[in-house]
Amino acid sequence: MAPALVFLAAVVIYPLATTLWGSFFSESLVRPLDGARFVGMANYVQVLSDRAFWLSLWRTILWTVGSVAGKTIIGLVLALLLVHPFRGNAIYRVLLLVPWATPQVVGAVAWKWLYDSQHGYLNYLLLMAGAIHDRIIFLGSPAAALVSLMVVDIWFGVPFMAVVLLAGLQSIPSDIYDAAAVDGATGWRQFRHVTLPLLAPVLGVATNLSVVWTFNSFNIIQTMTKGGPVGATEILVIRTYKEAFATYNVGTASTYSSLIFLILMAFSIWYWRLLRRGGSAA
Amino acid sequence: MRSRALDLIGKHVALIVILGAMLLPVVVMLGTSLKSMDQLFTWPPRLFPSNPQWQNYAEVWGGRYQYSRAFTNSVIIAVFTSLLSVLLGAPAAYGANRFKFRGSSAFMFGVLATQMISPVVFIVPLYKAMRAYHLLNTLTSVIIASTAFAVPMVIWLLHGYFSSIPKELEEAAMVDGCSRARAMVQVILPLAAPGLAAAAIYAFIMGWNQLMFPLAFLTRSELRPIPLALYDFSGYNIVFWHHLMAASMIAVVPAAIAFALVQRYLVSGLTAGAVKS
Repeated sequence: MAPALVFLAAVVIYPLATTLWGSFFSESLVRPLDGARFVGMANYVQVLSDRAFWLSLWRTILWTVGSVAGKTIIGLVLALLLVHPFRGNAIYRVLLLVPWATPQVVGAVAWKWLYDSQHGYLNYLLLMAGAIHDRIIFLGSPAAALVSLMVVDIWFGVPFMAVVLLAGLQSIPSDIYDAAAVDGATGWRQFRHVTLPLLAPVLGVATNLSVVWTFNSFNIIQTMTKGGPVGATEILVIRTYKEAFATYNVGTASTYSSLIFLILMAFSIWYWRLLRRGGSAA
Repeated sequence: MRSRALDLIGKHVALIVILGAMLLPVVVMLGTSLKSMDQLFTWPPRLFPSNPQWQNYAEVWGGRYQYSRAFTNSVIIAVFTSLLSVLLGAPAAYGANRFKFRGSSAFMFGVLATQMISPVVFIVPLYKAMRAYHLLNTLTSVIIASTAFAVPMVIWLLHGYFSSIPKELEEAAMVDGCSRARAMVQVILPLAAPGLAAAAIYAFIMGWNQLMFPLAFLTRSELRPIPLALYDFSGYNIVFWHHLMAASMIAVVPAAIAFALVQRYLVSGLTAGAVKS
């Protein structure tokens, strides 16, 4: 395993360390010869006192919470619908995987066309159904853009959720349900007191992974809006990329990257503790 | 009995509505890829044109878009990402699984923890390293970076796979006079072949989908892989959606075939991890 360790050290640990280290320097990518100047905490002071950072963080939280909630709820509904065998079940299960198998840029491009404000199919469907009276400018208006992108991210994420939760549901022994039924628990109460607690560990791991992936989501937003209009979809990852490759402020970009790293680490540690405590209580 | 039949009908209706909505983008993509320029802008829009324009595909593939070039670049990136990831990941997974050394579980945790790190954290240092080694504007830079992201997942998948192969097999081979290296090559590798294939295909998909690294490392258009070509394409002021959708359909095919091959294994690997913890 030595080659892999060396490689991982070279391409994961070394860049991570460089990024953390680089966040204490001021450096520009367009003037590599000027070199880096040590500035201590100045980058952090600058970023943390910048309103744009906090707006971007807030947007990232909205994006992550909304998107993960959407994936989890729809995924759970699909898993519950598919868990008991019936004729045609297998076909639905295969069709369910289609978004997962679609490359992200491809899906993003297809949705961009679907959302087109003049000729897009989605406006047509909504007009026909009488749900709207005027065409919606999905990606061009700040109010609609973030939600529109969330829908796309949910579309990509539902298959993973559904498949993992389906496996979780199948691992619950059926005699527990029989016992609950004897005790008179049916429908919602059975779901609330039997299914949910037993599904909790799987649900926990799946949502944790999903939070990290959604928080880091780059391809969909970059392809569909590049963070626009007027920054309405600029989550932290997109902003970091812009700092590095649009304004070439490497130091600031490293500071953003380090903050993203710290936020996700803090989240994961908090989440694992929560799960462990929840697991022993249930 | 009647209510069970009603339940089943309700189930089918719910599934058709949800999955119909999920399939819509792909159906629209296919339909649009077969339209002519005029048919794009008719109102009301039709899903499929009455006279499908199959030549759109030929035009995208061979014409001014250089799409066959992008396709070749993507194949190169994905194949090498796949080979390198397995070459590096398989011995690591085998080692972590078979030799209990101090820190072997810490190693596996570290592997999992890399999933928590945003790729954007690496982009600046990797960019500078690529510049220092004169690798900017080469496919090698993208291959190295995307291998970096595939290796941890490959280790994770294979670690689970190696645990399912009993230790006694190679011990028996070694009792019969095989060296450990020979035991691994002759006994373990053939048994692990399906797992290795699945991991390789998984890494292939990761290489195929790469956008951020090509965007940062490549400026010469003849080096663009498919995701970057599609990205550039959709950024123009006037988008030829029928061509863009044909190009997208072409990009889906290899990824979908690869996904179909590993889907079962990927799902069981992911859920085994989820259910265990």
